[in-house]
Parts: sequence; C-alpha cells; structure tokens
Amino acid sequence: MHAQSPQPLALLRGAATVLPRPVLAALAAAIVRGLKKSHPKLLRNLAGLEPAVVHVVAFDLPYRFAITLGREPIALTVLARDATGADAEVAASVATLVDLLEGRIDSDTLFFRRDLRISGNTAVVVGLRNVLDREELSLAGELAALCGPLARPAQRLARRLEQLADGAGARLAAMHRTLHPPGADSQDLSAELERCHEEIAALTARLGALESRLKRRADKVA
Amino acid sequence: MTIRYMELVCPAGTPAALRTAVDGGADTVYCGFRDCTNARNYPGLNFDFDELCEGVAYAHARDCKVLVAINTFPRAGDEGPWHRAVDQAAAAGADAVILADLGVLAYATRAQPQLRRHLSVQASAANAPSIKFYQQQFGVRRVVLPRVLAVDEVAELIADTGIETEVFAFGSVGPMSEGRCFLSSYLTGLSPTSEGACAPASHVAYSEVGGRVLSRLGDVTLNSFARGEAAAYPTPCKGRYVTHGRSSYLFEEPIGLNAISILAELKGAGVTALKIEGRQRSRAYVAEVVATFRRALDALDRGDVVTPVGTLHGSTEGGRETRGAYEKGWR
Repeated sequence: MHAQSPQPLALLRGAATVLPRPVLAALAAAIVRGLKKSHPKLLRNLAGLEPAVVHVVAFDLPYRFAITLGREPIALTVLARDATGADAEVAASVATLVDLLEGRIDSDTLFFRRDLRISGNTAVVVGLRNVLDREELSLAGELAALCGPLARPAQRLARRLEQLADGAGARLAAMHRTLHPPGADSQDLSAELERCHEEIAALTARLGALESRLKRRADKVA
Repeated sequence: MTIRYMELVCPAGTPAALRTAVDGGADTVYCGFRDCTNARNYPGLNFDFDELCEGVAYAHARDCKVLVAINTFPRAGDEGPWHRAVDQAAAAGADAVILADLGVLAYATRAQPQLRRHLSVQASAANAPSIKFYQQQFGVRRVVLPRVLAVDEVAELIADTGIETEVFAFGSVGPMSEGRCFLSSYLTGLSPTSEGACAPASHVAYSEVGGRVLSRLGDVTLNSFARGEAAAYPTPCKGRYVTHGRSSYLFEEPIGLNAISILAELKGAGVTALKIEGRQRSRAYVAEVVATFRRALDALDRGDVVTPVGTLHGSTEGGRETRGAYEKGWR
C-alpha cells in the first residue's frame, strides 16, 4: 500500500501514456532545466556519482526513462520500452516510483516486499537513491513550475482532473469487481505452484535414492 | 537502577533524514562523514563538514543532540582521515563522537578532551572489565552494547559499571560478532571495519532467473528468492547456503530486531538510550520508525500500554520481527 500521494498520478500516467515520445523528451529536458534552478545541489550530487546510465522502467508505462549520471549536464531521456544499454535498471509501478522520488516510501521496504526490482550496477542505484533522498522533491511542483506564472492554476486544474479520473477509476473498479468476484491472488498461486514444483523435485530425488537403495539391497540378497 | 527517561537515538544518513528525525521526535540523532571513517560508507550517503554544521545547528535549535559516528578502524599508517573526522566533529559542535578504535579513542581524548566520547558497538565491549577499561583509559561516558545480551545481563552490566548504556531497539539482528565479522571481507576483499561497508554495493548484483531473484556478493550467490517470498539484505550472514543437500540460513535468518514490546523491561534495567539502526535507510523509514518509538516512549512515560509488536512489520528485513538476544529463548 502506498502513502497517500498528493500527486495527480492518474493524470501523470495518462499523459505519459498518450503523449508522443518527442513531446515527453522535451518535457523531461525541461524538468532537468527546472531542477537546476530549484535544486542545484541535487544536480551537483548526481554529477558527482560514478558515471553511468540508469534506466527507470515503470511497469505501467509504454516507455522507459534513462538518466545519465556522473557528468554535467545530467540528462533525462525517454526511450522505447525495450531499449537496452543501461549500466543499471530500476523497475516499479509509476505510483511507487513517484513515492520513491518524493521520499514517501522506503526503498529497502519495497525491496523486502519485492515491489522494486533492480539489476545491473547496484552501487549506481544505491548512489542515485541516496542522492535523491537528500532532496525534498515534488514532481507536480516541478511540472507546474514549467507553466511559469500559470503554475498555481495549472496545479488546481491538475488536481480537479485527477479527482475526475479517480472517480472514473473507482466506478470502473466497482464494475470489474461485479464482473470478476475476488479469487485467490494470482501471485500467491504462482508462488504456491513454484513451491509444489520444488517439493515434487525433492520427493522425486528422494524416491530415486530409495529405489537405488532397495535395488542394492535386492542385489545383495540375490 | 531506574532511569527516568530513555533517550531516543535516531539515524540520519542525509541532512534530510536528520531534519526528519528531529521533527519526528528524536532526542538525539547520529550521523557520519562521507568517507571510510564510519560504518555506513555507501555512495551518496552521509555528511560533509558544512552539512554537519547545518545539521547540528538545526538539531540544537530544537533541543536535539547530534552524535558523530567515527567507528571504523584506521588502515595501517593512515590515521589522518579518522583524526580529521574527530577534529571536524568537535568544530561542528557535535555533542559526542562514537568511536571504536583504541588509537582514535586515544587521539580524541588527547586532542579534543571536551568532546564527549561514546564507545561504538563496533568495539564489541560486552563485559564489565572491557567497559571499565574504556571508561578508565579514555573517559568513555556511554557504551553502545552489542546485540548479544539478555535484558538481565544488560542490567547486571549497568549495575557493575555504572556507565550510560545505549542499546539497539530496532534494526538488524547481527551475527553476534559485531566489529569482528569478516564474512564480507572474505567475499569482497573489502573490510567492513576499515572501509565502512558490509556487503559494499559495488560487489552486490541481482538477477532474475526462472522467476526467482538471485542475490550475489562478489562471486558468491547468497540467496534465491521465489516469487512472493520476502527478500533479505545481500549480506553473507543472511545468505542461504546448501549443506548436506539442503539449503538453509546457517548464520542468521532474514528477520528484524524490534524491542518495542520490552521498553519497560529495558527501562527497568537502567538503559539510558535506545538506538534505532538504519543510516542507510531512506527518510521515509526514519519518519515511520521514529514516530512509532516516540509514541511508545511517551506512552511508557505516561504509564500507558506500549504499542504492540507488528506496527513496523513492513519495515523489517524479511517482513518478520524478533526480540533477538534480549530474551535468549534458546537458553
């Protein structure tokens, strides 16, 4: 479960899904430029990390993001979902990634729960996590700041749209529950199935050993 | 001995975490410099001198103390960074330094005699003669006790030495060999006690194979987690090893220490301060754990029932909790 996010997540997710990649790329570059003014220390610290490219993959978005660290200027780019070439990769849902970025959730807790996947150069990911956690960031604030003097009305509009999206989402979820009554959790079932496979493999191995022992005894008797 | 008030000592890996801990109700925060002089030397973590000065000012303005951990052991012929750290902690106005190495203790005693000295858990002092030695030779005022003692043993030590004690209330369950564990050195070639990082991130790797997550340290696969199974830190003491054809946790299971349900017993034993572990954790963790223990300690002071176990379940390693050696249920 996530802490109550003040962010218009459905809106962010929706926008990131429908906007063409060049527009998203321009937006990402503008966010980095904005951060240079609002959080200059963050960019200096990111530039001071080991040089690396980290891919951030949101499970529920059709793109992945690439952050280039350890040099100036820091770059945030938008890549195809299946792009490769990262030194390290971080993967989670959009909601989780935004909570992490804004310091509302602990990454170790997510890791224990397996809600966060990391691969590649772990030191780079740990460095990125620690540098981000030093700052009090607000993604909505940074996006709103791009609107200049219209920042406040833009935030109000975003909140209103988010409420509408939440309402529509709740109605859809209710319809889905009516059509598909809650059953066993598929992830639990997968884990259970995996455990059964392991148990069968262990029992098969023991059966094999017992059969061999019986055969040796039979041979001795014979 | 009965203590009137137990001090809540909280971790701060970054300036933001320090502010979070102070605002959340910590009586004291502890932190370290951005180098090998402290036992949480991870990329992007810790304080430079200016950040420490700002942190001390922020904490002191809110009646909160700041301790600086300088608790690793200098490499041969290279004491400079450790001595500099002691001097900088004093210059920043820290309330005490947490030390482990005899030479660093001697330096701090000589060079900064006005600076309070606490003995780190890394010194692994768990008996009265050892603690008295540090008291007498270096004027150590407080000892952080290793996680090997039962509550009655803690009470005996306090009665015998009369020293202030700080005990772990939340965090990891160590392999009962604190400051003397070389498992990580064996696998990575880097010493936790000199380089300041057990299972350094530079040597950790994760991969997914057939739906399972494998964690590796150096060239050794430490663990393999099935889908849905809670994960553990990639430290050698929490590895699952195959012996006699069966895999099991040979040293320690992935489980977190939580002493919230025995705060009254610890207070009764005469404990001065409760330590929350986790300078390497995020400020979200700091906020949650500090607030929970603040509520529990306030309830204890009022004579109310203390929050039961389970409140911090999600923040513990492996998603499970234990009272560890405090109860020694195996005896």
